[in-house]
Amino acid sequence: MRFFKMTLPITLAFIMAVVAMASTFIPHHYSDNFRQETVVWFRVMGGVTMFIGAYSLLRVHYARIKRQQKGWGYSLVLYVFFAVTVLFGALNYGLVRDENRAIVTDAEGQPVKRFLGPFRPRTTLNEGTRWIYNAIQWPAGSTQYALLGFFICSAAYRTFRAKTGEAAVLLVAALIVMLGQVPIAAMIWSKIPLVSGWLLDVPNMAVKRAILFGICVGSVGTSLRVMFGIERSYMGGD
Amino acid sequence: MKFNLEAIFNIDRRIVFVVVFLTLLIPLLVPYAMPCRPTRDVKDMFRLIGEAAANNKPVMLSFEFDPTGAAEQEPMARAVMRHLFARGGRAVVMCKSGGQQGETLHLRILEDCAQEYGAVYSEDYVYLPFKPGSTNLVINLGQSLPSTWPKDYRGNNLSDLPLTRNIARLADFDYVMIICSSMTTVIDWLTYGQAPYNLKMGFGVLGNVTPDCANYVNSGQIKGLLGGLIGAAQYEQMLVDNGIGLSRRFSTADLVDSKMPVFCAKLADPNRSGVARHVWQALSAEAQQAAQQTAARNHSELSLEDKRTISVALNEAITRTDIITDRDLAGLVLGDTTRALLQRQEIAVREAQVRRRLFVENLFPAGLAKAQAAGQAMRWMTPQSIAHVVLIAAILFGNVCYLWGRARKRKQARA
Amino acid sequence: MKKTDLWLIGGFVVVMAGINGILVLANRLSWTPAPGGWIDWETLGTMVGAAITVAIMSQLYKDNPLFKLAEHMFVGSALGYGLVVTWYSMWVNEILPGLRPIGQYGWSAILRPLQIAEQANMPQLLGVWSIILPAILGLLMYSRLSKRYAWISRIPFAVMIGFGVGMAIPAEITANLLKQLKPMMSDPFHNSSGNLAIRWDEIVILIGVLSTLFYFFFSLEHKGAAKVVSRTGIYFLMVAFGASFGYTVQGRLSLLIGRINYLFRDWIPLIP
Repeated sequence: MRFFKMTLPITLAFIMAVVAMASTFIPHHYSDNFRQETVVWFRVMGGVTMFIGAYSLLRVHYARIKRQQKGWGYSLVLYVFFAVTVLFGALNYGLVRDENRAIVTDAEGQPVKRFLGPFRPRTTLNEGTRWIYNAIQWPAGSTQYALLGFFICSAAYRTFRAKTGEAAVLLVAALIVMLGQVPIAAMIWSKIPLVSGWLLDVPNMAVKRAILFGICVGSVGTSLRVMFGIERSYMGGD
Repeated sequence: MKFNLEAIFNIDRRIVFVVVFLTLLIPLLVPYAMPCRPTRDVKDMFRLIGEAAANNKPVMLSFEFDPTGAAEQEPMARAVMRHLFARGGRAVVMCKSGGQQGETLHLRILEDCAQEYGAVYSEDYVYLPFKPGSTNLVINLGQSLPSTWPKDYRGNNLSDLPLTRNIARLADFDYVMIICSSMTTVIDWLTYGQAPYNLKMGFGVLGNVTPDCANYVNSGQIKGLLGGLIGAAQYEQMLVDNGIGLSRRFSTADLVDSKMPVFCAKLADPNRSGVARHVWQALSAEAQQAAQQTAARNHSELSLEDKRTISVALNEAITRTDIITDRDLAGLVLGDTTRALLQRQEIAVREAQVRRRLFVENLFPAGLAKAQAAGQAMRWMTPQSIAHVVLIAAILFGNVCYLWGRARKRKQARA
Repeated sequence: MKKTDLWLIGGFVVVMAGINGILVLANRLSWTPAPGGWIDWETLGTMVGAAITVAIMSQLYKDNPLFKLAEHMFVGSALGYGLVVTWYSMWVNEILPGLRPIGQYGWSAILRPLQIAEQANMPQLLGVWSIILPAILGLLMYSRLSKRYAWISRIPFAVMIGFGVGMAIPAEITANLLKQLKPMMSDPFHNSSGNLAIRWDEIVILIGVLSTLFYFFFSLEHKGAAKVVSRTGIYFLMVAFGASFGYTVQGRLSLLIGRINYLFRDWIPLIP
C-alpha cells in the first residue's frame, strides 16, 4: 500500500520532471509534441475538477442551512443567486445564420435566435447572464477592492510616522513617488516626475532585482527538492 | 485649554473615510482633465502597437482582468483597442486566468471600440474565450495557437477565420500585450512566453504591481508598460496628441442620453438645414416623431436603432462634400491644438474630414463627445491628484506634529 | 437572520426604492421599457448595482446585515458565473468535441486513436485518449473529498507538480537569473560608444543589488564592514518599499474613484 501512497507519486513526479526538463533542451518535434499534449491534459483535468471548488463552498452553506445556524438566511441567498446564474447560463440562445454565414433577421430587423442548450457552443451571451453580471458581480466585485482605498488612507494618516532613520527614508521615498505619479507634480516643479522616475528605475529596480535573484534561486532549489522527493508537502498529510 | 495633538490623529476613522470620499467626489464634479506627460515606457508601447498596425501584423492582447481591477485596466484596454482600430490594426484577444469573471466586460470593450471604428469581427479582431490554466496555456500558446484555442467564443474554428487562419503560434504575433492584475501572471508570460521566443511583450498592470516590473523593463524583457491609472491616462494623452480622437467616426455611444433633448431640438426645428436636414431625412417617420417628443419632454424617446441611424448619418456628413461643402468650413475657428495636429503628416491627409467633423461638433455641441475629449483615465487623474496632495499634506502634518512632540518630550526629560 | 436584520434590509430596500423613484420622476434617471414591456432592465440594473455598492460600502461604518447580504449575493452569482464560463470554454468547446469521434467512429476511435485523430482533423495528438486519460486523472482528484481515499489524489497532483517543476527550472534560470544578470554585466565606466563616462545609475544599481542580497545573507554576522553593507541594503529596501507604497495608494484610490464615478454619474447624475 505504501507503494501506491508514497513511492508511486514520488516516482511519477520525478519522471515527469526529468522528461519536461529534457524536452526543453532537446530540440526535436517529440519534445514539442510532449509539451503540447501535456498542457492539453492539464487543461482537461482543470475542466473536470472545476466542480470541486463549487461543491466545497456549496456544502459548507448547505450544512449551515440544514442546521439553521447563525446566518443561514444569507446562505440561502447564496444558493438562490447561484441557481439563477447557472440557469441563465444554461439558457443558451444562439444567432441563426444562413448558408452565407450572415445573421438572419426578422421583419423588424432584429436577429433571430434559437435555443441551443447548454451542450452547444455559445454564440452570444444570454441577456440574463449579462444583466446579473452588470448589476451584481461588477458593482460588488469592484466595490470590495475599492474599500481598500479608504483603509489605506486612514492607516497612512494615523500611523505613517518617521520614527527611525529607515522609516524616514521610506516616508520620503513614498511621498516623492506618490507626488511624482500625478500630473499636478509637473505643475508644482517640473523635476518631481523625473526624481520619482529615477527612484523607481534605479534603487527600487535594484532591490526588486536582488529579491528576484533570491526567489529564483529559492524556487530552483525547491523544485529540485520536489523532483527528488525530498519535499513532499504537495501530497498533503499521510 | 491644552491643545491635544494626539486627538487629531486618534479621530474616528469613519471621519477620515468621509474626508477621503469628499476629496475624490468634489473634483469629479468639475469636468477638468489634467494633461499628462507620457513616460518612456508608455511611448514605447504606443510606438510598437503603431508599428504593428502599420506593418499589417497581428497583435495579441491578453485581457486577464475582471471588474475588481476594471477601474484602472478598462481604460487601458479601451485606449489600446481604439489605437489599433484607428490605425487599421488587427488583434487576437484572449482571456485566461485572472479574467474568468471578466468575459462580459472584455466583450463589451471590444464591441464598443469595434463599433466606433467599423472594425469587423473575424477580420479585424477575434475573441478567444476564457480557458483555465496560466503557465500551461502560455507554454501551449508557444507551441500552437489552434490546439490551445480550437474555437473562438462564437464557436468558429480558428482555421476558418480570416484573421487567425495563418497564425500558428505565439511567435507569429508582432507584439503581445497583456493586461493583468498580478505579478505571477507577468512572470509566467516572461518566463514561458517572452524568454523562449524573444517576443516583443508589453504589460498593463495595476498600480501596486508596477514597481515590481521595473527590473524586467531595465533588462529589456518588457517593452512597453502601462502602470495603473496614470499609465492609462498617459496612453490616452498619446491618442489625443496623435489625433486619434480627431479621425474617429461617431458611434452610438457618443449620443449621450442626457444631451439628447438639445440635440433633437435642432433636428425637429422646421428651419433645419445642412447636416440637421440630412440626419432628419435619414430617420423613419416613427423616429422623427420620437425626436420631436424627446425635444418636448426633455427625455430620450429614441431607440437604439434610431441612434444608430443618426450616427451613420453624421458619419456620412463628415465624409461627403455635398452635405457639408468646403464653403461651410471657411469660417471654422480652429484651436491651437487642432492647428498643430493638422500640421502632422498622417492627419494632414485627412484635413477635410477633420474640419467637417469639427463643423458637425460645433453644430451639435451638446449632443456629441468632443473629438479632443479626454478619456476616462485622464478625467480621473484630477481627483487622483487632489487626493494624493491632500494625503501627502496630512502625512507631512502628522510627522511634523510627531517630531515636534517627540522633541518636546526629550527636552522635558532632560530638564 | 434575526428580525432586526430583516427590518434593516427591508428599510434599506424601501429607502433605495424611494431614491430611485425620485430620480425617475425628476427625469434624472431614464426609465424607457422595451416596447410591450414595463421594466427598463438597463436602468433596473443600474439601480440594483448602486444598491449593492452602497450596501458593501456600509461596511465602512461597521459590519452589518446589508454588507453580508450583498457579499453572499456576489459570491453566489460569481460562483455560478465561473462555472458557466468554464463549462462553455472547456467542456463544450474542448472536452465534448474531443469525445465526439467515439460517436462517429465507434470502437475505432478508442482502438486506433492516432489514425482517427488524423482522419477527424482533431487538434489533440492522441485523439480521444487525450480527453479520456486526463479526465480519469481529474476524476481521481475528487478522492480528496474522502478522508479514507484522499491518497489517490496524490497521483494526478504528482504528475502536474512534476511537469511544472521540470518546466520551471530551466525557464526560471533563463528568464529570472541570466536575463537579469546580463544588463548588470555592462561596464559602468564607459558609455555605449566606448568613451570614458561614469554611468552613475549602473553603479548605484550594482551597489543596491549587492547590498540588498547581502542583507538577506544571515549566515554571516552583520558587524563591522558587513554591517555597513547590510545597512546600505536596508536603506535601498526602504526606498523600494516606499515606492511600492506610493503605487499601492494610487492603485487603491483609482478603484475608489471608479466606484464613486459609478454612483454619481451612472446612478445619481451629479458628475457631468
